[in-house]
Amino acid sequence: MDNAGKEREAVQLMAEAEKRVKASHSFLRGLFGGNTRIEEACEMYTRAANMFKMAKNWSAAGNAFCQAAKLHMQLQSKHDSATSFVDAGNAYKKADPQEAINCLNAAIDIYTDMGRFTIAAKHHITIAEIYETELVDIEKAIAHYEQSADYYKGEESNSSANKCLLKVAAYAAQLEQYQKAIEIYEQVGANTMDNPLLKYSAKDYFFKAALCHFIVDELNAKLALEKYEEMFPAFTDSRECKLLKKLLEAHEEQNSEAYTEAVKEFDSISRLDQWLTTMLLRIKKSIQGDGEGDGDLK
Amino acid sequence: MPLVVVLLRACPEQTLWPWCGTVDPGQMSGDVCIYSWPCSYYLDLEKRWVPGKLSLLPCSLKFTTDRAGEVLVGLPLSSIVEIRKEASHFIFSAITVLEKGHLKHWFGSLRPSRNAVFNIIEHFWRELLLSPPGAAAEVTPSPTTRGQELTGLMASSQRRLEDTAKVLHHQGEQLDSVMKDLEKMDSDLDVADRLLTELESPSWWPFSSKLWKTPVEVKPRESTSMAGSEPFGKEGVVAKIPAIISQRTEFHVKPGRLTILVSGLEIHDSSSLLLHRFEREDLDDIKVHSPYEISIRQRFIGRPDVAYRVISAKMPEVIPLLEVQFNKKIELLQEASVLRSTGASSSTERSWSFWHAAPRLRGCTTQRELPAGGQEGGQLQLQRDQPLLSERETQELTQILTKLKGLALDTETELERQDEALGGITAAVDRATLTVDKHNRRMKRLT
Repeated sequence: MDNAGKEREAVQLMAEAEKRVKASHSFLRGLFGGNTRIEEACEMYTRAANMFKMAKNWSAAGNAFCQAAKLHMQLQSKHDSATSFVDAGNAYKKADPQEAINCLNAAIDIYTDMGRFTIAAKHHITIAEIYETELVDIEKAIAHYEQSADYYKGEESNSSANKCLLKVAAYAAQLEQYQKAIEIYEQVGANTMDNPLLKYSAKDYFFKAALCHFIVDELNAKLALEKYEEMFPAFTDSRECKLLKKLLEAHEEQNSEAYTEAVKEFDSISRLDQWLTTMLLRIKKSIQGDGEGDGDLK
Repeated sequence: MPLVVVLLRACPEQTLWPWCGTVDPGQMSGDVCIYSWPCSYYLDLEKRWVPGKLSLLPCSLKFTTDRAGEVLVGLPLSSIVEIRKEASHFIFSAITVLEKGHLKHWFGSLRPSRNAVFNIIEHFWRELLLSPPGAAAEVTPSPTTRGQELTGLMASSQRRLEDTAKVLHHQGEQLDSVMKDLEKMDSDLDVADRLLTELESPSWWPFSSKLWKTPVEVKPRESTSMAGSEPFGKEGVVAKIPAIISQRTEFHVKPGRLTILVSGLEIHDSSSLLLHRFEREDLDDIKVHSPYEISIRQRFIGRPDVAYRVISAKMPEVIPLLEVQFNKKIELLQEASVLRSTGASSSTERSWSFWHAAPRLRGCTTQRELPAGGQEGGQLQLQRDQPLLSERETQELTQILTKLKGLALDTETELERQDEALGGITAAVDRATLTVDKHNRRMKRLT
C-alpha cells in the first residue's frame, strides 16, 4: 500500500512547516519576510493535510487543516482561515465529532464576522447533523437548527429557513415539546399557504400541528382543526383532514378498532413515515390506556 | 404484507424466511419469539461491541449476550421513536434504534443481511399501530380494489410533485439571490470603472477626467431608457421637485430643488443656483431611507465624498423614476422597502395546453372507463359484481387530479419565471466578465 508512504511524507511536511513557523517568530522581530515564511508553512500544512486524507488518517488531517487555519488567521486572511476550518471540520467528522464541531464553530464565527450569514447557516446545519447522528444530542441539534433558521430568515431565504424549522418541529414533537412543534408547524403552514407553489404542502403542516394538539388534548385538536379549515379551506378536502376527523371520532368513543381501521386505510394509500407512526402510536396508547393498561405490553 | 404477518403469527416455528437465520428454541418457552438474529451490540460506556443475539418478540426487542446470556436491552416496540439504517465509522453497516428519551441503540454486524432485519423490525413496529388490538389477528386481509390502487398511485405522484414544487421554489429563491448579488456586483464594477478612469489620468491634471479620456461608452442596456428621452425637452428634464437639502451634516438643512434629468441629477438651492450636478455614470449610490428621504453619494479618490440628503414630500412620486434610471445603484433601506412590494407581482400568463389536456383525463375517471383491453376481459368478467370504482373513490380521484393539475400549472409558471431569470443571469455574468477583463487590462497598463 502506498498509504504508509503518504503518511510518512505528510509527517515530514508537518515538521518542516512547524520549523518555518518557529523561524518566522525569531525573524519577525528584526526583519521582514516573516509573513512569506508563514505563508509557506500554511501551504505545507494544507498539503500535509491532503496527504493525511489520502492515507485516511482523519484526525491528523483535521489537525493539519486546523494549524493552517490558525496561520491564515495570523496572516489576516479571514476567508482562507474559515475555509481551512471547514476542511478541518469535514476531516474530523469521520473520527472525532466533538472536535469537528469545534472547528465548524470557529469557521462560523469568522463567517458571521464577515457578514456571510448564509454560509454560516449552512455550517450550523452541518453541526446539527453531527449532533443528530453521531452524538445523539437532540437538544443541541435543535439549537443549531434554530440558529441556522434565524440566519436564513435574516437573509430572506425563507425556504431554507422553513426546512430548518421543520426539522426543529419534528424533533420537538419527538421530545414531547408539543407546544413548540405546534407553533412552528402553524407558522410554516401559514407562511406557505399563500405561495402558489408551496400551498399544496401546507396541508401536511396543518395535519402535523393538529396531531400534536391531539396528543396533548382532544378538545384542543378539534378546535385547532376548525381553525385550520377556516384559515385554509383546501385543507377540508384533503385526506389528512378526513383522517383526523375519523381519528377524533374514534378517540371520543374510545374505539381503538375504528382508530386502527382509519389509520390502516390511510396507510394503504400513502405509507406513513416514521414520525407519523410514532405520533399515531402515542395517540393510540392513550385510547388503550383506559381499557387494558400496560398489560398489553407483556 | 399483512398476509405474511398473519401467517407468521399463526405458526411462528416455521422459518418463513429461510435466509433470515433460525428461531431460537430456547426462547420459545416464555414469550413467543418471532425472530432472532446473531449480531453485536455497542456498549456506550465501555466503548466496545459485544456479540449476542437480537430477538424480536411480538411487542418488544431484546438483546442477549452470547457468553453470559444476560439481557442487555429490552425495549417495548411502542417506545421506539425511530429506526434507521446507519453506518458506524462510515464503513460497518448497522441498525440504530432510537428509544423514547433519546437513547440510541446500535446493532452491528447483523448476520443474514441488514436490510432483511431492518424491514422485519420496522414492519412489526408499524404493525403495532396498524393491526387491530388484542390477539384476534386473524383477519382476512381484504383485497385492495382497483380504485384503492389507483388512489394510491395518484396520491404518491401527488406527493412527488409536491416535493418537486418545494425544491423548485427553493431553487427559484436561490436564483433570485444570485441575480441580486450580480446586480450589486455590476454596480460595484461601475464604481471601479470610474475610479480607474480617474487613476488613468495623470495626477497633475486638474480637470475632470472626461476631458482627457475618451467618453465612457454607453452600455447597450441603458440605451432603452435613453431612447425615451425625447419627450422630456432639450435638456431631458424628467422631473423637478422642491426639496429640503442637506450636505453631509444634518444641521445645515436648506430648501432647494431636485431635478432629475435623463443624463443625471441636479441639486439647486432656493435661488436656483446649481449646487451640484451628478452625472448619470458618476453617481455611486442612492439610498432610500424612507419614502420621503434619499441620500445621493459620489465617491472621489483622495477627496471626501460628495453626499446630499434630500427630503421631499413629493419623493414617493420620484422614487419610481429614480428606480428606473438608476436601478442598480438604488438601495432601499428597511422602512422604504414597502415600496418594493408593489412591483413584486410576476407575470402570470400561463400556457393553456394543460387546460386542454386536463378535462380529457378527468373524463377518463368519471366515466369509469378504465382501459379494458382484450387481455383483461376475463378478469373484468370476474369482478363484474362489484363496481371497479366506487363513488367515493371516484370523488377522491377527481380531487387529487384537480390538485395535480393545479400543481402542474403552477410549476410551469415557476419554471418559466426561472427560465427568464436564468437568461438574465447569463447576460449579467457575461457583462461582468467582460468588464472585469477590461478592468484587468487597464490596471495592467497602470502598473
